[in-house]
Amino acid sequence: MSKWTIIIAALIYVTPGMATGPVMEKLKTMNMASSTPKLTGPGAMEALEQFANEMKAEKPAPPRTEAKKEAPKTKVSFDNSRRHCSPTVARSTVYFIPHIKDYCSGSRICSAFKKEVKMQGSGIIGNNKVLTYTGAKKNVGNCDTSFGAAGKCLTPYISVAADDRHFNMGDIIKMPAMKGLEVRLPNGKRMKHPGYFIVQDTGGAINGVNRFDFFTGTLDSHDPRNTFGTEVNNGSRMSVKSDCSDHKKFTVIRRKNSEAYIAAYNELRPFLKGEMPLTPRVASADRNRGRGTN
Amino acid sequence: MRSLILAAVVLFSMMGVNHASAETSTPVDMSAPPFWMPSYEEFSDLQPDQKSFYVNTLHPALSQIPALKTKTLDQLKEAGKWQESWDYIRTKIYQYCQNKDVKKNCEAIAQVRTQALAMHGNQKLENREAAAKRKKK
Repeated sequence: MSKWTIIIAALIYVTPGMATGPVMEKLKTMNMASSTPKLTGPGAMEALEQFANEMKAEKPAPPRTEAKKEAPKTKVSFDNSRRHCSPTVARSTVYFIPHIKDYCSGSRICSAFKKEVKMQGSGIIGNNKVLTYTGAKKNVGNCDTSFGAAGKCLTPYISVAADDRHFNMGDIIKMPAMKGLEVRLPNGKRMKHPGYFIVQDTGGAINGVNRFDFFTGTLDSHDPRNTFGTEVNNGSRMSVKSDCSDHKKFTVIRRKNSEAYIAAYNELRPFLKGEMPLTPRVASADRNRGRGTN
Repeated sequence: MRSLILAAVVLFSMMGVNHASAETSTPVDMSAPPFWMPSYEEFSDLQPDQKSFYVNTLHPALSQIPALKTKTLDQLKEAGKWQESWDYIRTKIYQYCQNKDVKKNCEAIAQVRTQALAMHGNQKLENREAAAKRKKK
């Protein structure tokens, strides 16, 4: 038995209150401090001897290690999300396209708007045009906001950006927890969410099978009106990537001529601007669609 | 009689070969990853500049695929307006890409799709930085 063991044991015997701090923590991890009598009883000598040997053998662990051990206890983990989120739970964020009217007093492009455009990539300046971060102006046709990588108008709370290596544009993401959720649109109107999203965009930082960036129109993630934003504290928040809550569970309905896809698409269609209903016949034999156009 | 038996044996053996090859060539699910080429629907939805980029950049890569090496740029452009032709090219590419030895070529073909989509993909700062980082690598 080493000199240190005897000194520590003697201290505990004399003043049991001293068995706190690192000594107590170490004993806890060794499952030897579950009851007080052990600390002052005969078992204490064995425990302390083991403790002393381990203290000699290893360096003290940094406090961060303790924090990592604690993380899995909470339902929402903010550390190591890639390891904790299952592939069927979305690692999500939200994105938006700023509107000039929310930043500048008139129709003239002001510096606050320019700054936001540089951050978000583009911003709506009216007359069916967006200003891009390069300073170029892009015509967006009849879209209320802009179009995404898929070439289709983006719809708030419906369109989603995903990794194009894992998703086809037009694939549908079914998120049952969202069905019936009352969503506040940027124009103040409210809608009942169909529980489906459609992949219509991509992004350089959107990588992985469960990584999604949800489009919220002109509402930024900190806007209290944003139903998916950081300010909501219920089951609709999509703005925290590391939040692996159950409401973000999803399944993918691939874009093909299947009953499941057609049914899901037709539920989504009323929310999508200018889209025609899909029928099995059209989906399977629409061979000439687009012929002579573009 | 002997020649009849011989003919029958040959016929049966040919049927066996056909049956075996049908079993081994399982159909490829083109709606699931990896996405070597966009579906006709996905391509049809693209903006004109994306379509033009895609077709012009893809065409040189087709010369590596024996079944498609005679396709001209005009034929490829025409296929973009005609689903049967598009599906034919797509099927040939997917079949070619079943061979793991040509993985590099196929990844280059898939990259054309990614680049075409990125032309109008979200360009927020985070995405731009990530894309630039990937380019550097």
